[in-house]
Amino acid sequence: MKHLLYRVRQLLSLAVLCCVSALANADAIKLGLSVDQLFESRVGVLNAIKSEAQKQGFEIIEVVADGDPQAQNSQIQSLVTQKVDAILVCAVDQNTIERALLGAKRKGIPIVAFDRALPDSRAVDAFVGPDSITDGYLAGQYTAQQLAQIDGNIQVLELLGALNDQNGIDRSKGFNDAIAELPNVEVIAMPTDWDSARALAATQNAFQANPDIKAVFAATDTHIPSVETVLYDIAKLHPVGSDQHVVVTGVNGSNDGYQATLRGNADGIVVMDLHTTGVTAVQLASALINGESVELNNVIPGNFYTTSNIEANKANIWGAQ
Amino acid sequence: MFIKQPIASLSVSGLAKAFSGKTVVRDVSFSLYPGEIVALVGENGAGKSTTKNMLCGLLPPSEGEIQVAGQTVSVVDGKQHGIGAVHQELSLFSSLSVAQNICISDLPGKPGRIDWPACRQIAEQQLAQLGVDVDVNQRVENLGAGKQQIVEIAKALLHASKVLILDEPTTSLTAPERERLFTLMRRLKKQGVAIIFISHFMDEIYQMSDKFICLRDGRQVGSGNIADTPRRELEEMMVGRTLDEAKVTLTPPSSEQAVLVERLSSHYFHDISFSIRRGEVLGIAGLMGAGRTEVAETLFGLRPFEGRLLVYGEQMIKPSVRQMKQRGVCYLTEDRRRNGLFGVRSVKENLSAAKLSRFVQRRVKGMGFRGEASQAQEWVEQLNISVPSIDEAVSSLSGGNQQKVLLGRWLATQPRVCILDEPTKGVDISAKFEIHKKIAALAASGVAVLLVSSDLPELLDLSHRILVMRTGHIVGEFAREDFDAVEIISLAASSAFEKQRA
Amino acid sequence: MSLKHRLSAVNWLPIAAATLVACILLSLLSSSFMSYTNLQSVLVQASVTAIMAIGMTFIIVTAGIDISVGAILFFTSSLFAKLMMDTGSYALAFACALLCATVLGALNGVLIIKYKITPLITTLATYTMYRGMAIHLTGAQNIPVPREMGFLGNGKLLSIPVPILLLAVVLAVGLYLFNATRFGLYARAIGNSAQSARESNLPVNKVTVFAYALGGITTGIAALILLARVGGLQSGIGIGIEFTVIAAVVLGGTKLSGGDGTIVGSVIGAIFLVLIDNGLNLMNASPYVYDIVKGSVLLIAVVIDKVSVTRQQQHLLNQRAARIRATG
Repeated sequence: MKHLLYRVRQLLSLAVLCCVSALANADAIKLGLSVDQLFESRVGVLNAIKSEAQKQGFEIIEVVADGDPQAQNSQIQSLVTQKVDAILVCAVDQNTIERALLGAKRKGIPIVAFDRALPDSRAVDAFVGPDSITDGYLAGQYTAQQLAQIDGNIQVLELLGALNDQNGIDRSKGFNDAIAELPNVEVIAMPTDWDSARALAATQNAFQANPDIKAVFAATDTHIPSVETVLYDIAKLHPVGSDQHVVVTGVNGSNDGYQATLRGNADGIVVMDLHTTGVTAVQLASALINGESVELNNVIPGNFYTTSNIEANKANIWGAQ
Repeated sequence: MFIKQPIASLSVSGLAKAFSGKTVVRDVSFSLYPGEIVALVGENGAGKSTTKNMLCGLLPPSEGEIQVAGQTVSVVDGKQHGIGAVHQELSLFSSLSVAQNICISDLPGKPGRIDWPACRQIAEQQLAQLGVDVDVNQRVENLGAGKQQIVEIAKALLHASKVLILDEPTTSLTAPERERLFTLMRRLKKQGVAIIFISHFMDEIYQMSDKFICLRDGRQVGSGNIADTPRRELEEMMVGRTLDEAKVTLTPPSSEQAVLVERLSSHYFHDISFSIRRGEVLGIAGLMGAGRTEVAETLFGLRPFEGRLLVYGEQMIKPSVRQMKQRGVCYLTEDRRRNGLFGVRSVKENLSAAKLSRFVQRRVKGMGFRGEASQAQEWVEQLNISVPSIDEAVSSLSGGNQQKVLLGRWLATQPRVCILDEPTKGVDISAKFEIHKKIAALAASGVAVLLVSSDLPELLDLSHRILVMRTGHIVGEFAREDFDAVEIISLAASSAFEKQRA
Repeated sequence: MSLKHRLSAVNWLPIAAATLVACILLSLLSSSFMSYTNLQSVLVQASVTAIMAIGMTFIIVTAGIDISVGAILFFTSSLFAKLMMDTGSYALAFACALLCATVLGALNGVLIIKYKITPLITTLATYTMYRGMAIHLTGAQNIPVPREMGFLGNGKLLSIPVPILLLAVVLAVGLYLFNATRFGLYARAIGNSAQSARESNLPVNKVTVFAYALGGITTGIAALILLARVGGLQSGIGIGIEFTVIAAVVLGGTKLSGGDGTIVGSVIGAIFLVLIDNGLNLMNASPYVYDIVKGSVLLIAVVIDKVSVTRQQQHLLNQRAARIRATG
């Protein structure tokens, strides 16, 4: 049944794409843009990609898989049949689309992966995305500094992202590497699957079992309001600087994280540079089309902003615009 | 002397129904008086169901006049006019209680607050009126078929104070349950309820009815008093031809043994032994629940068993349906709607379903069902299946034609052993005759046939030998020259008899 | 009526027993489990899925299913957040969100009865459609809701958390509708046999649409609680929640084939599913074992259900065989 629906969708998208390509100017360079699904930070990168493409005079054919790896597979194939000059891809699932990507490569179409690395892919020519290990490390480093004065066993709650998402895994790795500097720390990790409701429940349960948690790290700062809610409920929501303050950090750069940091409920957030990511993706594609050789891995580290300097850097925070 | 004629409970004249321009019923005219049982007879597809649906208000008539208690009405409103029907397929809700089922179309209390105590009370009253004792809080699925039938009647009688329509009420009942139903019908008759009785069983019609209305091909072809009409005359009226041609000739079987069953036992039967020769029709008689269907299913590899089963000399150990099919065994199910046919698929596809590989020409992989259509057309003609086109969905056919399609499907596999379970259940007379002829021809061509049937005349007509089963045992065996209907019935139905002839 | 039939009518007993066993196990494994605050937070965490499960029970009992509820949840949250941001009017946002949820649910019902497509396919299509509508509405932006909305998700009334109160109200209304009204009885009847229901002159279409509308409105209520609890709209909201909801209903004792169901069971089923997460959280279990445990518990539940049915049937068969042998 799902299959049937998927077929219908495939046909529809094919038909739409045919129309689009028929109208397109044959001379202009066409970039195929294959997106896993739409959410806030992804849209931020896409906007950067589109404005840079426009600047360079490229056309964009955008397809969104809505979280369905099969759909993305066929969408990439249809991009190939439309003879795009390069493909920018953010994968739902690496393994499912590998064949379609190899097909594109055989046709000589350069492939740039953005936002989500495809570490074992034989098809990808370049990757640009966040330096998630460093992002996590920055938050961990700050947390470690704040907790350095405390004696005895320190419990830290980590809200993990999806366990099959490379960015989530890398942020966790970076955070844990940094926090391990403290000799007496215990990290309590809870899975959230990027779901705020699960993050809320997990935080609630974690504080239930371990009331002495001294710091919380959220793999995405969109979970910080949930953390605030729990801390408020158990009367532990004290602003930065207070003795009983629970250290809260996160990675992303959304408005949720910005506001919480501004209020002082969160200490700081690592803000991803979505704009540079998007611009670099297009530039990489452009270079590859022109036959230039490029760096395989291009990571754009984020910047850590704290309550004291976040307002001054509002312009650099994509979620606060 | 002047006898005051009572007002008819229900009277129709010139009733007709057309679906999208095609008239399926016409010229139905009769009057029904209080305390009368009128049999509505006719072959399947004669228009009985459509007529019944117009009489109970499920369909508005296209033409004609309906009078209820002397008042002309355009459409019957069962609740208002006191007319209720018990349909052939029970319309009970299995997970609801008896009380909920009886009251469901007219619940006491407000829509937003059902008065459950009143509901239970109404149900108890209804059942008490019928003189039966059923726990009204019980879920219907926990009741036996007979009690379910009674609940259904109680439900219909909630409004059917004047007219009750019973459509094939006895098909799923055991003999004692049927007797109880007949007692009930007599009691209702005495209370002045008029009953329209639809049945395939002539003996029931002659036992219970006062009058009859006979339909054929959507037209009323006769009516009168049952007492004045000999059975043969009525049957010929239904069929529209004399029944003399409806005699089957059996050819003697060969001596080669096709199926041998020794000490077969399972949860449903115990210590069953028999054999079938090539070209022989072995009938199995018995009541519902005697284990006949289970034996048939076991022979087709559908159920596990203990004991020995040999097909053409080869012993089958834990056989699967696939293995049995490979050895040329085919099985025509008792419940065609649930087990046999693919309702929404076409006649053609249903005919070829059992032997798809025969039609698939593997020139191009997955392509081309060569000969499917022509083979299907051939079967349609041979079995005289009345269908506008072989691409018609099977669910649109009448019961008899559906059964013929099912039979045709298995015959298409050119079987060596044919297990037939109630092959003519719910089938009209002419279709029945065609199926009988086909079965006899099948046996004559050397196929071993196991025939399970509740229709005793059918068994008597078609079988070379008859086994009688009761509560999972074989309690009797009759050779054709010793056939004795009365003895077979008493053996099957009584519990006092012990194994005498086995 | 015999005790056995009486007990078999209480179809939520198995899940209640399983939940009790889970509670005992968890209180042995974790000292913090059996505390007032923890049990309270279990109920709060279960409230969203439990409220949705109550609506879903009506749908499944008519032999239907609605897998678009996650999308309805997402759309309702989006609409509410968007309206709050643009107009700031609680009255408008609440009214529109609940109305919209009801209409989207009812639309599923209308499509199903009108075009006679199976509910699974119909709602699969509307799932994609509703999610698309929501993303279009907000441009995939995260939208925070005002702080005071938090009352709905984390506030207390008479020292009872508001989500629990809302769950209690929905449960009471659901039980009443299911057991005391014509609608509830008709819904079960339709699930048993839609054809018989038509023959008995029941308003099949009306009841079906109403059941799906109920699924919609309960989803709407759940959406507002969820939104209040997480503090704002995020594009991940509601993804996959339909499976948790359907699992809760089925674990609770409602038959997927329709006709037979239990509101109480669905609520207990939702609580049971939350207990698993809660227990694992409390035990500081490795993040990687969560899905394994959840999957195994679901599997065990299904297998136990199946085994008990098979054993019951086997028992009946053995009795029958004994009777037959005795007569021989």
